[in-house]
Amino acid sequence: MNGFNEIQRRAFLKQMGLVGAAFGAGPLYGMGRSENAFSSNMIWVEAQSFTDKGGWVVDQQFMDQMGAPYLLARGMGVPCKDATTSVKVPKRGKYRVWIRACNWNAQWSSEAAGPFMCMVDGKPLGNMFGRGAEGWLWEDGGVISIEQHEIQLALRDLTGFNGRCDAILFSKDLDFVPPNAPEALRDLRRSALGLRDTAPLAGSYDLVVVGGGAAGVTCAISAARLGMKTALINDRPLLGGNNSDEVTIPAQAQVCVAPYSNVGLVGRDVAVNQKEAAEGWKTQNKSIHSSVKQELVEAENNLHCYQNMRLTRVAMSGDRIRSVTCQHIVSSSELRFEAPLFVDCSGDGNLGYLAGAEFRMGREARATHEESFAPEIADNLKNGTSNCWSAYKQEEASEFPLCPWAVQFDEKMFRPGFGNYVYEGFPAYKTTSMWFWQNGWEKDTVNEGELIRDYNHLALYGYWSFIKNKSARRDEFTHYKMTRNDYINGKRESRRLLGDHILTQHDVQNKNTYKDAFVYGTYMIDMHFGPTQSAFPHGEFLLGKHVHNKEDRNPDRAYEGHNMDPFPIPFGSLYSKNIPNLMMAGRCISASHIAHSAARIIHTTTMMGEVVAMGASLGLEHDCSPRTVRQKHLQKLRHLAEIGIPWTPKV
Amino acid sequence: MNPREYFQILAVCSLLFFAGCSAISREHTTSTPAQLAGVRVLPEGGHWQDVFDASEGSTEWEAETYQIGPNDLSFEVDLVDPIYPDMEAIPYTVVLKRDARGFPLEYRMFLRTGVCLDGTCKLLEATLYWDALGRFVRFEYPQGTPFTKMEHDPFSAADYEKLHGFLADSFSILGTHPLGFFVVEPTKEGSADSDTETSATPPDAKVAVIEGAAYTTWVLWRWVHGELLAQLLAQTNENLSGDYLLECLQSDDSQFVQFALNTLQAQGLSDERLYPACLGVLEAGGQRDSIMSLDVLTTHSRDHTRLHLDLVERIGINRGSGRVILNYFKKIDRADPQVWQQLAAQIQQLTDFIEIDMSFDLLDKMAGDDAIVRDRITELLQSENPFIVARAQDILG
Repeated sequence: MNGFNEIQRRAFLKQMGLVGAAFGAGPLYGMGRSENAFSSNMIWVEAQSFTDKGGWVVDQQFMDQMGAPYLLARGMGVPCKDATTSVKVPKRGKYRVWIRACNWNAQWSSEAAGPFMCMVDGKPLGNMFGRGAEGWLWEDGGVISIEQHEIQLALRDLTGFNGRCDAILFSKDLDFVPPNAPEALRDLRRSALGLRDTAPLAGSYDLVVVGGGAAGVTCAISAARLGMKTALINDRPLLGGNNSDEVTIPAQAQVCVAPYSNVGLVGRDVAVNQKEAAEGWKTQNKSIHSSVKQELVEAENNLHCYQNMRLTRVAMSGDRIRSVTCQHIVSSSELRFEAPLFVDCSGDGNLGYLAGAEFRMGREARATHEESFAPEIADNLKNGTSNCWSAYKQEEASEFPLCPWAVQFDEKMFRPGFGNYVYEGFPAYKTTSMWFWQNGWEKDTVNEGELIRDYNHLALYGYWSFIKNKSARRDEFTHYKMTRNDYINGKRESRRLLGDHILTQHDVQNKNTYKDAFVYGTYMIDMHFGPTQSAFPHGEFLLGKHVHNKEDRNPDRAYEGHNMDPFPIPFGSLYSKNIPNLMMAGRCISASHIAHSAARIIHTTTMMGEVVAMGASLGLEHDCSPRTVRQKHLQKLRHLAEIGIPWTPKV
Repeated sequence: MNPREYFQILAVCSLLFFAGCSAISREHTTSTPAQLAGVRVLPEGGHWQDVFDASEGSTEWEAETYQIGPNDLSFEVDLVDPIYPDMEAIPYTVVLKRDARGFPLEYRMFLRTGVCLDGTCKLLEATLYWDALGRFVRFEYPQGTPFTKMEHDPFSAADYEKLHGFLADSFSILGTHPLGFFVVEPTKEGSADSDTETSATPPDAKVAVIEGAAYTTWVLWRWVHGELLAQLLAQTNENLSGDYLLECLQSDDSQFVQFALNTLQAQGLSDERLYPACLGVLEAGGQRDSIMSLDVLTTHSRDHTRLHLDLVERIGINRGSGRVILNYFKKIDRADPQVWQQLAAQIQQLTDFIEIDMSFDLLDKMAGDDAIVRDRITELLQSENPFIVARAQDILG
């Protein structure tokens, strides 16, 4: 590893939070340095770097859109514990304080849901934050006098409803107004944090895998076992993506599918299905989704896992990716990763997008691939995004605030639920959402991800507030308390990067034969749509209906629910058509919307990860692109697929 | 075929089968071998009660259930068996236990019922208990006659505990799903052990019933949460006194508080002790209690100025009610100037930022020109709380 020996690497990884889920970094603030443009009269504090985050959580999901990770007050209706930190002040005197905050429900209501206070040495600033105009804005906290060299800052949540703070800026220039324009803000922030144009090199790897979901983890482990020095970059403290402790979508579909029944051996260990998750709760009393992956990753000597690192920039050499730069979501420090081959397992296709890979979003027109399930005219519809929630019965009775700013319900909207299966947009008296609660079908799941999550929460808070306060059955919910409310989006669909082959409905239904198909999906085409009946003025939030190829289900496998006869996913769908050293595994592979709806299932994506690692190993061996592997070394790839990924014991 | 149709056919078959040995009827129950083994067959169109013999079962237990003390009350209610919803209701005796003051404590009812689809099973006997509001409290069963599962295995201690949990869950899918969803239908060959889960029992069903005793769980749940509840509550309502409502308003159990407030909303505040008791709810109650109490007070108080002043005094005392009261003031058109002056005087004592903020908004909207209010806001410029100072400056311009 260039300029970064093993001891340094270990120390760095520890600092970066490789081990476990701890956000280890201390408070980060810029105080103006002579070598950068940031004024020495300012102090910049990134909210996510607060030493004690109290009940606030770090949310990095939307930093590409709003500029940075931020702290989110996750109180579920009860104001959460203060986030606190200390800040050194180089110059005494008067400062104007600016807080970058977001009134997240401004577009739906004039009453802000998540206002918060900022306390300096125990005293509140003269403003309440997070209730300004729509969007992320700097809000004026007024002028304060600082006479000490160190001050204590606290963010105080006032409602328990998703208040959010990006950064705090102290300016000795009392007339200075920080910019809201994205480019100017980015420059100011980078200057404040002392970030250089070229980040330090973390290392040169054989393969860099961006995205630590089930596909990414499987791909990275597989690559490491095939002898490649591999970097796995994950932008959360926990591994697993949708199959992590934070989202807990169970792995479905089959692994090890004939004729390549050795493809999936790694994915089988990595991805946690419903039964394993239940067993984990039973034996360990906790979610095991992420710890299973963590243990497997830590056992690989060839694999370096960089947790809490978010891809932010890509450097190109012609049409090839030269390096990727990632930023730590707590400390903001950056690192650069070089490799001859890169794999995009980000789900959103972020790496491909930044590299200029061709991609699609939404549904193709029917004529594009002659798909009978496709609409006549191409549109924006995607499979919805879920933020699961649940409430459990407690010993103590509990209340939930009135939420006049949320989606409003009345008794007429309810109908008895059959178990949890309620469709067509009608809510039922429930204490868990499962995956039926979703929205964003028509939205941009990448650039409007925050909006989608917020609307899911807007509906949830309104629903639960109605249940607890106004419903005819409210007495029965007295002891129920909301205990889970995911803030990490459970996405089903976003960008689909285009490869030499685009998987289509025909591949899924007709089981076409491809020489380069070593991954076989077994899940039905499962498209999620919003309700056909409109019940809520601001939008729907419950699954309306499935559209799927039920008729293709194998009756002999009826007990397996949604499974069907295997369909091929060719290797040509697993690399980019225009970025020669970019491969994909996960939901961002090259597929039409229809085919994606069958291929997006977790176990299937892990097998993609394995085959991509095999392809990468051949690419390295022959110093060629994945396309050349497909064209010239397919026999070798088939051989690898036949024997599967070797198991390497921990040394 | 639904469980009822199935049962009817099987009951007829059973009758034909037993016809040679004995006629199963209320008059001849003790002479059949099957009955000696604790097995009953229900005649078509009959009630379980029809096949019980008064001399059988735990009559002592039943008698004990219906024993009443000097303060207690015994009454009859007509109930429909949940297994046979289309049949006529039959009378059941319910006992209301009351304390020395005559306040309702709990209701109890003895239940004897069959717990299998094909009519061949041991009878279940239990006493069910509800509180004064008709909420299920517990069940008891006679010593020596435990509940049984498939193969007539007696319930374990853990089964009883689980059963209690299932019965206490008013959201259980036992309430929304028919018996056939949980219980396997008897085969043509007949099975005496039909109290089990269906082979295709959905996961939801498995977590809602005792394994091997799905029928028992379903039947008991239906009795516990059935039409009786409304009659119990009606009985409580029939004997309400001001003393009892006062006691309810001071209860730690929010549902008693809300029961009293619902009653007062309908009846009014004729008893003068109830006005301060409702204000007491605002001082100590949660958000929902506070909303209901405020509704009662604003609906039935005649002196609104006094009420408004009493309400303002309670802002800042209890987080559950502060914002509720301020929200109420946001919606009214006007109030006596004293009310706003009092609110302005109280802001310095408030600690909840949202209450402070709402109070300033209210003063700005309702009393911005009131000289006394402005004086009091001016005094707030000296506050040590920068947020109060900033909000005061906003209003004073």
